[in-house]
Formats: sequence, C-alpha cells, structure tokens
Amino acid sequence: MKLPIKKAESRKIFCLAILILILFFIPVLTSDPYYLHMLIMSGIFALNTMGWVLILRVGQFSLGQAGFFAIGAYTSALLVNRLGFSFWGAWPLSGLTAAMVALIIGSVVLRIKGLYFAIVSFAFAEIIRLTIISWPKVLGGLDGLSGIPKPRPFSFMGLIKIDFVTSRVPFYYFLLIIVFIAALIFWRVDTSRLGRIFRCVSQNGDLSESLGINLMKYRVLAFTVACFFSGISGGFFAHYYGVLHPDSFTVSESILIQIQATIGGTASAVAGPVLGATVLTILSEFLRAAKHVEPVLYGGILIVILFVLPKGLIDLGPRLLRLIDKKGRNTKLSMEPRKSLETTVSGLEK
Amino acid sequence: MNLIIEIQGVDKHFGGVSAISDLRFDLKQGEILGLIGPNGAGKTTLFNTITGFFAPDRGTILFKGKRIDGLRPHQIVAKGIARTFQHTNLFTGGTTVWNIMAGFHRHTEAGFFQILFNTKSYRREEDMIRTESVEILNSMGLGEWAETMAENLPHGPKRALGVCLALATSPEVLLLDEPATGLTEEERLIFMGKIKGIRDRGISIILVEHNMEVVMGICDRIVVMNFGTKIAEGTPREIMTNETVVEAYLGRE
Repeated sequence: MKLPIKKAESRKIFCLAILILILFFIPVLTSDPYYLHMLIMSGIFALNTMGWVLILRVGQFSLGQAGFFAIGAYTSALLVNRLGFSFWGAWPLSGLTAAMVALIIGSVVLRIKGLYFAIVSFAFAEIIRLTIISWPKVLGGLDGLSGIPKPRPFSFMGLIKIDFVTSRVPFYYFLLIIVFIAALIFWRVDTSRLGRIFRCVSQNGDLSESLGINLMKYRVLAFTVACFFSGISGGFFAHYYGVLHPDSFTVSESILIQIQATIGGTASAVAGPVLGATVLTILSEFLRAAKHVEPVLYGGILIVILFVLPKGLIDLGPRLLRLIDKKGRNTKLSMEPRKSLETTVSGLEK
Repeated sequence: MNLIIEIQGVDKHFGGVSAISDLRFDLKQGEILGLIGPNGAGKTTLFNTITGFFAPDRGTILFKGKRIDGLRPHQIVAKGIARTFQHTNLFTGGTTVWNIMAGFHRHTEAGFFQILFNTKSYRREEDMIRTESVEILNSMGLGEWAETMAENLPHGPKRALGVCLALATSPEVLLLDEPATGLTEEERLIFMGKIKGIRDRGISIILVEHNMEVVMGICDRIVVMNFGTKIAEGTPREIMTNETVVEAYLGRE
C-alpha cells in the first residue's frame, strides 16, 4: 500500500524541517554562549558518532576514534600556527590527513575482527596520544598546544561581517552546516547500495566473498570516510577551543563516542548517533551541578535507558506507539488482523 | 570439447591431515559433472580450494586455461566461478530479493561519488539489478517468495535461494554443494529440471550430491572421490558398475 508509507515519509520530512528551522533560530533566541557551547560540542560529537556507526556497519567496533579526532585537531593547529595556513586552507586538510592515515592503517588492521580490532584501534589512538605527549616541541606535550587562532573575520557578500573572535555564533552556524552536509552523506551511504554491501560484509563475510564482494575494500572505505569526519571535527575543535591537550584525546573519548552512538540507536545512520551525541552531551552538562554524585547519576541514567530502550533513544517514538497500539487492542474487541510492525528499521530492507 | 576447469595434481592438507591428495580431473564446458563420495572425501574442501578460500599446497587449478589457484575468493567470482554452500547460507534481516541484489554487486559500475549523488546511471543500475534479481527468482520458482524475509523461507526455497545467489554473479561455472539436501521427492524432481535448465543456458556445473537419483539423473559424467583422491571417473552407468566405487561408497544391493 503506497498511501501509509507516503504519510510516514512526509511526516518524517516535516519533523526534520521543523527541527532544522529550530536549530537555525536558536542563536536568535539566545546568545548565551553556554547553550551554544553545548550544542557545538554535541555537533562535534555527532560527527564522530555518525562515523562510529558507519564503521559498525561493516562489522567493526572502533575504540580509536579519539585518535583520528586528535590527528585532525593537531594537523589543523600546526598548519596554521607553524606553516601560516589560514583556517580555511588548513581545516579541510585536517579531514584529509585523518582519512589518509585511516586508509593506510585500515588496510592492515581491518583484516582483524571483533574484539581484536577494538583493541588494536584503541592501541592506535593511544599511540597518537603518547606521541603528542612525547613530542612537546612540536605538539605541545603535556603543556598543551595553545594559541590556536580563531578563523579570521571576513565579510560575506560585503554585507554581513562574520567574526569568529568575538562570538560563538559563527562557529555554531558553521558547524550546523557541516553536520547537515555530513548527515546527508552518512544517510545517503547507509541507504544506498553501499549500505547494503556494508551490511552483507558485516553479517556474513564468506557468503559476501563468494558473491564477489571484496571485504577489505568496503571495510577500508567505511573506515576512511568515518575517520575523515572525525578529523574534520578535530580541526574544527582545535580552532574553536584554541588550545589542545592530550587529555582531550584519551580512550575515554573513544568510549564516549561509542556510548553516545549506542544510546542514541545504531540502527539509524544519522538520527540515532546525532540524538545520542546531543542528549548525552547536554545531560552531562546539566549533571555537573550534582558534583560528586554526577558519575553515579550519569551511569545510572545510561543503564536505565539501555534497559528500557535497548534499541536506543530513537526507538522511543515507535515503542510508545506500540504500547498505545497494544493498550487499544486490549480494551476493545478488534476484528482487525494483527499487523506485525516489521522492524524494517533494524532490518536490512531499504 | 573445451576444458573449462582443470584440477591438476592438487594437494591440500590441514596440519597433519591430508584432505586432498594428487587430485586430477577436468570439467568440460557445458557438462554437469557429478562429484560423489563418502563424507570426508574432500569434496567441500575441493570447492573451497577452487573458489579461493584455500590455496592448494601443491598442484594447479586452471580456469579456461589460466591459473586461478592462489587468487582470493572475490577475484575468482569475478572470473566467473560461483558456488553454493552445504549449509544454508543467506543474509538474514533482508528479503529474498534483497539477498539476490547483494549478489549482483559484481556487475555494477557505479563508483562512490555516483552512489553519493544518486546519479541517473546509478539509479538505472539499481533498477536493472532489481529486475534481474526478480527474474532469477522466477527462473528458480521463487517468484512468490520475493518479498519474504529470507530467514523465514521454508527449507526448499532456502536451498534454491543459495543457487539464485550464485546465479546472480553471472557465472560460467557453478559449483553446487549438496543443493538438494532436505528436499522432498517432488522438490527434488523440480530441482533436477532447474539444474538442467541452468546447464542449457551455457553454465557448466559440478554437482556434489549424496542422492543417487539426482546424480544419476542429471549428470553427464561422474567423478568419485575417497580419502582425498579420485578413485573413479566415468559415465553414470560405468560408475554404477565400478567395483571400487560400489565397495567404497554405493554399497551392494
């Protein structure tokens, strides 16, 4: 039946449009840098969580995204500070450098599966972090790399002056655009033939190979794209924060990315990871007031979410609908045939 | 007649155990070659070796006169050899048609950026893939199951799906590993017809089967293996009356 599907689709697009509109107008509603900061950090994490899910799609569990985030951050910082690049020249290179490293490392390391890949990815990220610590002359070591300039102000079409120095708002809009474009790319890849092949690679390597699918090619592709965006987010982070310290690129960050993606819901390529990144970033900020109890509350909330919504936060809507459906059916004598709510979201069907 | 596959003195061992030793036989183009023998004779190992999951320890394998031993599985599929699995092997979480579409990957041209920007050529390819997938399903009698989730298929259609998957790669050679296991009498008869139909379309077939009705019914020639090596080769009639074969495998009436 075409009609119900169309309704759901247009409803989704409508909600998405409203959401984007709201996001667009937030800086108009509040110029409080605190809220903007939370959203900016959410956006930075979202770029990483979407990438993490893409890597999961080819069946790999990465604990090394912080390493590529660091590569992007330090690349951009050094290109600007040491080699006099402008932000606009350096920033794309932060993504490309991370992607190149991912390509090289991945071609070797992606042959390993499961837990072993997780360990190796974690080890790689640690190598990056330890390199930063042991090279203070170039990378700032434990003193950190400071003095990273904000992007220089410029005039857009001679009318609007965009000043990154005095306000966070330009950062916010810039990131919003980046995340939007990234989301389109991640969504497009996931729903296309590539997404289909990725899922095959992940689920049944032998069968995929015997159908002519080159497993490594697709694993490396997914990994490289994901790490490109980790690098891009790192480059942005470097110029937003102004200071880089190896403590920002530990395994905790890698694990946090994974947790955010999982809590948000990994069945979706965009909505889940973005939701997870945003909700958990905001949550952890709000819980700061609880001081010492914060970790207990944070952890407790995570556990509750996982128990109640094992498929993640994006399952909240569908779950409620199913509950309401069930309640309705119990209270009236329904002659309607039971419609099975096919979880095609979590399945492989387009 | 052309020899499309030549197995030349292949050895394969695992640790101390020899799974295949000095195996020699050929597949003629356009024939259905039966490969029979007791369990453990090395038949599936041979399939795994031909399709690149293993590399032979000794000997060579030729496809259309060129060596393919040592190539990776996806490369061998690209050359035109496809196989099915002894156990039911499919992608869960997707429909039957979705499964077949995954097998079409070999013949697509669209690169990363064409896919990313959803170009016309990519969309045309996707439509072609879907149409041809349905065609393959129809040819094997699975048309009605197209939109069913693959893991929900009854056993017979599941086995047929394995063959459809292999066909999606447009092979010139098809290696069937016990495709008729668990089929009912009726399903088996239909299946035999389907296999003949595949051969008539120009695909050469090696068929591993335990069911002698099937083997004797559709195979042009038969190779018998035991303990990793060939013990007999010939027409079905010759094999039926071969003393060594009867002793080792067929048993006396």
